[in-house]
Amino acid sequence: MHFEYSVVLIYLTVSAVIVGLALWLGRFLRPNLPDPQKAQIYECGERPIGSAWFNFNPRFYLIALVFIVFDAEIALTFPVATVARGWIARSDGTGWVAVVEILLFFVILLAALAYVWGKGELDWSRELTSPEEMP
Amino acid sequence: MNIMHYLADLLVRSLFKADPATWPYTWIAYAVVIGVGALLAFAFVAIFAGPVTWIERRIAGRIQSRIGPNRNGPQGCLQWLADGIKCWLKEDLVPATADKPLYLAAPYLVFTGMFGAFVVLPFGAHVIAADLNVGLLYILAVTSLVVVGLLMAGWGSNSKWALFGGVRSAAQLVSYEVPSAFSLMAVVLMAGTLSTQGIVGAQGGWPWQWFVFRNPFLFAAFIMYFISAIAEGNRTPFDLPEAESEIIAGYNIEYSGMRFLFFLFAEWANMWIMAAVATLAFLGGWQIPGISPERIAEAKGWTFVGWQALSFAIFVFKGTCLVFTIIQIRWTLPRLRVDQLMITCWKYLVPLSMGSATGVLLLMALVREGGIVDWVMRGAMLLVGLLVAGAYIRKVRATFMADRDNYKKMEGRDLWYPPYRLP
Amino acid sequence: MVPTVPPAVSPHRRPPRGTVRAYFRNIRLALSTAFDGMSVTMSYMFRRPLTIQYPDKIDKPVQEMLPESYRGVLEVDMDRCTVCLQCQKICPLGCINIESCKNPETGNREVTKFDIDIGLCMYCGLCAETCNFDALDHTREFEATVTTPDQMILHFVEKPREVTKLKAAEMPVRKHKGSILQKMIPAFGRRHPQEVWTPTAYAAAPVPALKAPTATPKPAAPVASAAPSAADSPTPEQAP
Repeated sequence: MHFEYSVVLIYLTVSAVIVGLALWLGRFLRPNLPDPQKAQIYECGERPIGSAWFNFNPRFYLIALVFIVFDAEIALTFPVATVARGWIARSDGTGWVAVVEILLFFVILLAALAYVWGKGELDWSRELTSPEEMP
Repeated sequence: MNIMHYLADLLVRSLFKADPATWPYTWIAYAVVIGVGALLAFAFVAIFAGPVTWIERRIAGRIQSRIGPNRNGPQGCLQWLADGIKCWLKEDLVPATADKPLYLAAPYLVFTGMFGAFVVLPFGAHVIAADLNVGLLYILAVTSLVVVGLLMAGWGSNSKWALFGGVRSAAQLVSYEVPSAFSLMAVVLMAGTLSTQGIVGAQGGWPWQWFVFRNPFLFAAFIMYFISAIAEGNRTPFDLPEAESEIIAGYNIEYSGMRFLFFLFAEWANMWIMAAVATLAFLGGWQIPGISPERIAEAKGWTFVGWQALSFAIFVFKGTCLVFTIIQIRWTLPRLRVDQLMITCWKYLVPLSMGSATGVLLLMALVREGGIVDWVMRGAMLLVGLLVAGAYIRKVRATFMADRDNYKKMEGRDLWYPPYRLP
Repeated sequence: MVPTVPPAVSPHRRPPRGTVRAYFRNIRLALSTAFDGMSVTMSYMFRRPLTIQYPDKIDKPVQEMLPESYRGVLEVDMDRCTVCLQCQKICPLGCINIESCKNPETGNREVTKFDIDIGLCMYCGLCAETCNFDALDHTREFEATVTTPDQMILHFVEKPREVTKLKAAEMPVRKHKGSILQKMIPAFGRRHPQEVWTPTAYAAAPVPALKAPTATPKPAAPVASAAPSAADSPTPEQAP
């Protein structure tokens, strides 16, 4: 087991080293002619206006939040899904525990999804002031 | 037994005449052997991802009735090398207003996240770096490093286009991770293990032993996994993060030279990873028809090596077929809109993939494996697969025949031009 | 397929009737249209590409495949030119530059310069239409690549020559269109590979003014007698 995970560690290290090595070797090959025009960011040929670190569509945050809920559920369901087969094969009824458990997870998730869907949070372009939301 | 473990032990025993269990420097031998294995994997990525860029451009040429790059080398087959060398010789630009640490570190994360997945890809019966017992979960986890890298690139560039590209790609990748994880959950339920070799071992060499033809829910799961894998790889029709008509190049707009190349490299290698995961999870992986894995394990000497090579070839062949499909999809379907992208994921793929996982679970609980119902389902799904393939061939032929006579009348030549003949 | 697809889910709270049906119809449409598209693109893998690779794999020069009325690089047949200056006058860009003078020894009119700046020409065809003697015309040549900017000026008169006095009907037959240019085309840089274009050479080259004759690097020794032309428009060379 230690060996297997050390393989992961070494693979990740080697890949990072490959990137670093390629960039480092490139330093001897590529030109380096700094220029204030080159150091500008690209804004379709115009002079850039202000910083790019501004507020953007909050939809992205909502998607991220919904994703976190789902990802946590996935992380919790995968272990049950892994053992479910073995439990079902045991034929002493423990299989149904796994089945009911996973189904319960899914029902909760689907209820959450239906709620978010019904609220209209999954629509990307959404009317901000529908008649019902007006104060 | 891990093959690299075995080789390292062999090295210590034969070269240093020491017992690997007690020798104090065994770990160095292990590290060296694993490092060599990593370099071999990198060589595979480079040799695969490079030429595939050229092959894709040639295929795109054929699909669009043109020729494609054919100048560098015989039929242009060295085009990818020329592109790589060109990128290597380019200046490495860093915008003055960029967030330097984030900007410089992003390619490392993207490439590492991509390359980490190669640890658990089973290329052959024993050709695997490490058969982790959490294999599939590991792939899901390590490829999400790419999201972090893309966000860092988008944010660190301090460019509006890059920011939009980075945020879009993050939203897209995290969204499509949900359906792909649920589709893979159906497979995990069937196999009862997360280990990639275990999943391949739960299938067989013949098509009716593959997971994709086991039952209708797994068939649907395969299609949904394929769609969400394309989306996770930022490929058309889901290439919103680099939609050149909207946001010039997306997250990599401020990158140049080698750093830019690593983004592209990771994208192309990602194509192989998603094809390989689809192959191992649904299409029977490296399994040789008619040869059981036990027989391969018991074989000795060159027979063993031969089986390994054959299984490797089968795996790469299946993966390459899927890669071709991905390429063809890219040159067939137009790009989706942002809202369509999100609707496709959250309103269609997520509930349906959950439904397919539930269906697989219920079928497992209710239908005895190897029973008459199971075999009827397998036969029916295989029939469906054959019918789809037959309908596809018929449709291709009909489309071709519809234009053949007109072409002959107008050009005076035969329209038929076989794909192996390079123009 | 079906031309209009109603949205699967409307933005309103209560979904309208038929929403579920539309949902599944969207799935069916997505799969079937993708299937249709894939089969079309797949069929192109077996079709002959329309692109003909230029210039490697064509059976005759492209110039011969172009239509007769193609407006390529201009060409003058000096045997038919009467130096009426109609083309120079009508050219909206002033890219034609003709100079002539009377030879004091023989008393004949001589043309000393017939330059066309193909870098300036916009291929409008007005000059070719005004030419009454079918001397100036567009050819089907289009590969006019040169390596230095001054090579873009075509010199159709290398040394002063007598202007024809014949009537249009008596003139020699117009040379085959393009035959004169084809002799000149190697001069478009291919004959002089040592003349490499550099930014400094470009900066040093005099900027051609409208109507004014441009500097010609060629040895213009026989132009010594061209006094009248120097009077109305002195060139940079002739000034000192």
